[in-house]
Amino acid sequence: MTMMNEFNWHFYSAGIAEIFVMVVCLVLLVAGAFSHKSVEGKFVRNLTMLGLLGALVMVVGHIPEVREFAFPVVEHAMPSGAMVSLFVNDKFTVFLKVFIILSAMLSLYLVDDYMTRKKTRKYEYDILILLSVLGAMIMVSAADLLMLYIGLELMSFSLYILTAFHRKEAKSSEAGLKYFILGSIASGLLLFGMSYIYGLTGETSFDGLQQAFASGIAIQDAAMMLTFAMVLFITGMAFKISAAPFHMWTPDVYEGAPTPVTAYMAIVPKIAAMGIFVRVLFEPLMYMADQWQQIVIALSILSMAVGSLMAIVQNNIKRLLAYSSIANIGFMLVPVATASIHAVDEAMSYLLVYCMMTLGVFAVILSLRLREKYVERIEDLSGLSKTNPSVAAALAILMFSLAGVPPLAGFMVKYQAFKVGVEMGLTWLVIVAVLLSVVSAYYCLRVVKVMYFDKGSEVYSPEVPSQIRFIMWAMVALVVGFGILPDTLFQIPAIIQQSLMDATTFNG
Amino acid sequence: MLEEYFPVLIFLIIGTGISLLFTAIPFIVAERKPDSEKLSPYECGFEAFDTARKRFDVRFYLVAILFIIFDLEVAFLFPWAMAFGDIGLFGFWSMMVFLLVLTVGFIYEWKKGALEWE
Repeated sequence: MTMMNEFNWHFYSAGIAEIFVMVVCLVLLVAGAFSHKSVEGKFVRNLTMLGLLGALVMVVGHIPEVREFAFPVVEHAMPSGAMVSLFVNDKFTVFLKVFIILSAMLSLYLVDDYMTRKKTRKYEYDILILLSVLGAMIMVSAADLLMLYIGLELMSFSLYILTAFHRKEAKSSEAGLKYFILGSIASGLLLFGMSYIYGLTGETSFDGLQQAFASGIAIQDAAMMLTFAMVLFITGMAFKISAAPFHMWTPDVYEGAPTPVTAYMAIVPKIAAMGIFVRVLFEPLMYMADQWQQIVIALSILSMAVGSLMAIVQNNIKRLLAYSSIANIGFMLVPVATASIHAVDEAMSYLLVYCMMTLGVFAVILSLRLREKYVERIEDLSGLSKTNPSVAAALAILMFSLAGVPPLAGFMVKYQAFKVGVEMGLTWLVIVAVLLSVVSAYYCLRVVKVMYFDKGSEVYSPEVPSQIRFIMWAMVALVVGFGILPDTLFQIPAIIQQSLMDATTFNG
Repeated sequence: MLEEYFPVLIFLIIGTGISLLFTAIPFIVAERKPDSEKLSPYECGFEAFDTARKRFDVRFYLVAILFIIFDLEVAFLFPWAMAFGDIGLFGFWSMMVFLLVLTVGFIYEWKKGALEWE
């Protein structure tokens, strides 16, 4: 493989948003170091927001009709001299990137109050968030295993540091170290799988892999080795989306990380990892569906079971949300497990609604303080309905949505995910999923019960910062709104699914 | 496909066998007469000065990390310099972008005082 010898902007224009974010990161790092201590926080925050907004405009401003490639390499092995690109842009990536950037902006609004109270405000926080957003954007746009890996690592490394951001707290640094070690093992497995895939097919680009598998030559020669490689690869990805049995890091890291970081970590990496996971399964590994379907079914059942059952015994609300995220990943994998590309939009709309609910719940957690300390235990929520009825109502609606109670968006996406599962012939899996979603309703409703029926004498700090209140109610409004008008919710993922399908038929 | 790895398997088996053998032989044939001098720890002929679990300054660690970054940068520069004739202007600017990113990191660490010992 050699790089192109001459520069042509045309080859890079599809990646302009990523290049822009990278430049903003570098400029802010230097500017922050040179600016005065008293202003650096506000200054960097404003520029970070502007940078994210700029990236959003660049992503939305150019929605490609057909897929666009960037960062080409010339492959010697290809007799035609055809161009192989590392980077791809289509409606699927645009959807995920908009979703990532908006989530990052909203989660940045959650930080201020918390960090100011804890006196740990540092401008590096914003830059790390920006770098992980860049990693996530590169990851969802990857058209090559190496690009995927680089994006994943950039995102993960920023998250390791963010997890240990309160380095003087034992819990935070412990969580950071755990996340780092386990995350590195997962990356290692992923890379190991990739190296086998490359060794067996001689390809790292998604298109090339798809052709190699379609022709069936690679599969016949070393079916066992290829399955082994794929299992390693999927293990690494499952780690990043925290699907059981690769979920062990999730509760500890969620609990130990500063709460705004947890809010960010529960959303953005999940979007990116889930997005690229779906793309890898349905593009390069499309002709291996027989093999990966069983793995995804196993991941799905285990995640639902472990998440739902373990969440029941949790006392810490952040741990509860960690297990809830594992269970929800399991539900999200039900449509993916059908191995049908027609089910991708159900998984994506589930992801969308799950992120809204999670962000809302974290906004609620960040708005509750007892004796000026942030609430983390579920018992501490007792009597919330008396002392702070509006926040209690918001949390109740979000929890009902997480539990999957009918008029809310959480129910709609669950219903669609299960419906497509039945249509594609995975009835038994859906039966398991429905039973486990009843279990998961228990822990969601327990929170509501504690708020409304348990007696509590503690008085909450009354004032809720306006930014947090805005996010909380915006998420409640979206959850209720999409519950009443589910059609709007399913329109967007249907378009992106079409874009994935176009790509697949084009190459196949 | 798998057969090609057969020599590796044989190598692994022989390697494991020989190392186990050499570990086992001293237990059987070697003479053992321990006394207090033989059992006490020493370094380079002296008695140990201090415990191995002594704490040391975290700044050593920082310096080592910073050194690694720039050491690796040089490791990237050598192949780039060797291939410079083939990669043309594009290759030149690619490396310049890489160096720019590193320089930004360098400016940051300098400004933050990571290079000052006191």
